[in-house]
Amino acid sequence: MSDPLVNAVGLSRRFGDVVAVNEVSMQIESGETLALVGESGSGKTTLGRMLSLLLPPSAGTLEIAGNNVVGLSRRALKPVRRNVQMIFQDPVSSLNPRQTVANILTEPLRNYRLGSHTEQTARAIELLDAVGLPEETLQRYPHEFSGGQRQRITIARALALNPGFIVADEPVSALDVSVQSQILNLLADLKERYQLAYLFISHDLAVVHHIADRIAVMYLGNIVELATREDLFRSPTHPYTQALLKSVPEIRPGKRRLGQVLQGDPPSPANPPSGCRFHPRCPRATDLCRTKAPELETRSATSSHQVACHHADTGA
Amino acid sequence: MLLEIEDLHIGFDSDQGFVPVVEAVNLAIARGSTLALVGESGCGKSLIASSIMQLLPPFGRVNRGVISLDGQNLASLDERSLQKIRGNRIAMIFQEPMSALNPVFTVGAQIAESLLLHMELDNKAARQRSIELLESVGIPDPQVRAGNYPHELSGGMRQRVLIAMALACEPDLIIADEPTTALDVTIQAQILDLLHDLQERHGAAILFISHDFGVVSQMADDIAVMYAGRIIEQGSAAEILESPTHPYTRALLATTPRLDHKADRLPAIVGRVPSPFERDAGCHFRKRCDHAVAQCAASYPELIARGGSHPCACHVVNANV
Repeated sequence: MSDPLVNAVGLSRRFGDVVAVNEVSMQIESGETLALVGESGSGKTTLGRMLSLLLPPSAGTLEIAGNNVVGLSRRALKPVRRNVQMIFQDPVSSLNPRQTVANILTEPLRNYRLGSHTEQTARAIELLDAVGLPEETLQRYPHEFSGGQRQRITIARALALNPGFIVADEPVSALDVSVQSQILNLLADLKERYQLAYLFISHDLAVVHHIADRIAVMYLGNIVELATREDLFRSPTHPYTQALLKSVPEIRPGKRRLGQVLQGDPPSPANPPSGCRFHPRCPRATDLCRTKAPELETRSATSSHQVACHHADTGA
Repeated sequence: MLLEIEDLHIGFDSDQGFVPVVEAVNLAIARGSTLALVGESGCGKSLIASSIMQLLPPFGRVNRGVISLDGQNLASLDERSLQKIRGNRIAMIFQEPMSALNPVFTVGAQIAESLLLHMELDNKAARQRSIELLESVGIPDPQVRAGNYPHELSGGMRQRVLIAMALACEPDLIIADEPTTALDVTIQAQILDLLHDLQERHGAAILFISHDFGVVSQMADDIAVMYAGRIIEQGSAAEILESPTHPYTRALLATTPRLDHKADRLPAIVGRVPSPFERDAGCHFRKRCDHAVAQCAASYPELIARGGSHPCACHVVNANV
């Protein structure tokens, strides 16, 4: 196997006393979608910001396409940044309302001094075409577009510098279902066409089930399970993953209760529980879980399925 | 029927005259049952909710139609009589609990407010009752929590507080407008189960507004699907989820990603919803519809049941059965 495009080892981020991301290791290959799922406060956005080079880690190493990026100056980071782009949840606040679409799309090119004005405009038209928008879009302003069209514009902008890696933080959460599927299809097409790697951050397991190649589940700053899409949905192993999957309402008739899947709220990351951070809500917790934090380990020598649970083999 | 809505039209006045947003809506909810109103943003589902409460935003007005609670026309009531119904017989739960709660009062005081207004309790009894209500919605340490301000609670707790407020006067009808959309999925599961329990215990009817077919299948006895201001298909939850007939409902169900099925590509619905200004005399969905025929541009299809099926507003479907 070639070197992974993204290689994070023991990545952590603190904000004051709060450990938002705790020693996360993950690799992402070219052309692969790794989905990061978890609930609010799990640290998935913080991890995404570190991988997109917007936030320096407090500890750990991070390599993008073989280049170390930790501790680099802004100037030294600039060439690496070309390769890494981001798409956000809210296309309204991530587009400058006072710039035309032409300006928005050529800004990255101007930043890197790529091409003449004419070439930049030609590239902008090419980008619009790639995301399914007509050339006339160029002279218009963000407010003239619907939410789905605006998200297409932010995707076009992310593609401007031919990146290899895109961090998409809840890119379809603000969209209606019928528009959401258009954007999901577009992201899949672009991945195919440009061999992109995605870190796809989402709270929506049905969306993740559709788009991911592999899935990492986060809880309170830790990755608790990491597996291929098939393995994770076929044999979810961490009790938190199992609870998450059980909580997703199925589309089938029959008014029903789900039954208690998980009690209580996630604890505050400012004051995390001892040992395994999931133990206060876990049906399988024992004294071991209260004192010792489990490591993320592969389940067997032949499997890539990783779980952080002392009782991973006791089943559901 | 507890709530009956007949031929409801809601819209606003513009330079070009009256612009309809919600058109020709008929709905009925029986005591103890849940009707889900499903549709994407802008379809008018929340306007229907606020019109029931007689709390339309300033630009909106009901142009035609009758909304009645136990046979009483709500539009005929004066503000004082409406006050006696709002929060008392009809209560509402919103999507965003933080903006529905007042940040400068404790949650106990906010629950007690409607008790003092509607239930003729004294301060002490109202306080006691609000603690009981917090307990009934599954809030641990209700004594302590009653003294908390909204910002001291998690999102799930705040939504429980809103539900406690909605229940305070044992309403006949609860309008829940996307009540779990802002919540994490494990918390959503808790809140939906709570709504079930409460409906069983109090027998309230629920008008459940949502864009999420998964959530709706868990909650609904009946489902009405809305598109661009109109109900386009209506039936029992089983009818809509298992044998949808309208092309929009079918496309919407097919394009929703789900755990029990994996498609390579989601069958997308091309284009977008026409705005109220762009609607014409024809079917509002026809430009996005794979089955559209000439008749679809000529007239809006009636919402009718044909051949033993449930009501559907589609020329093609109704011609073929």
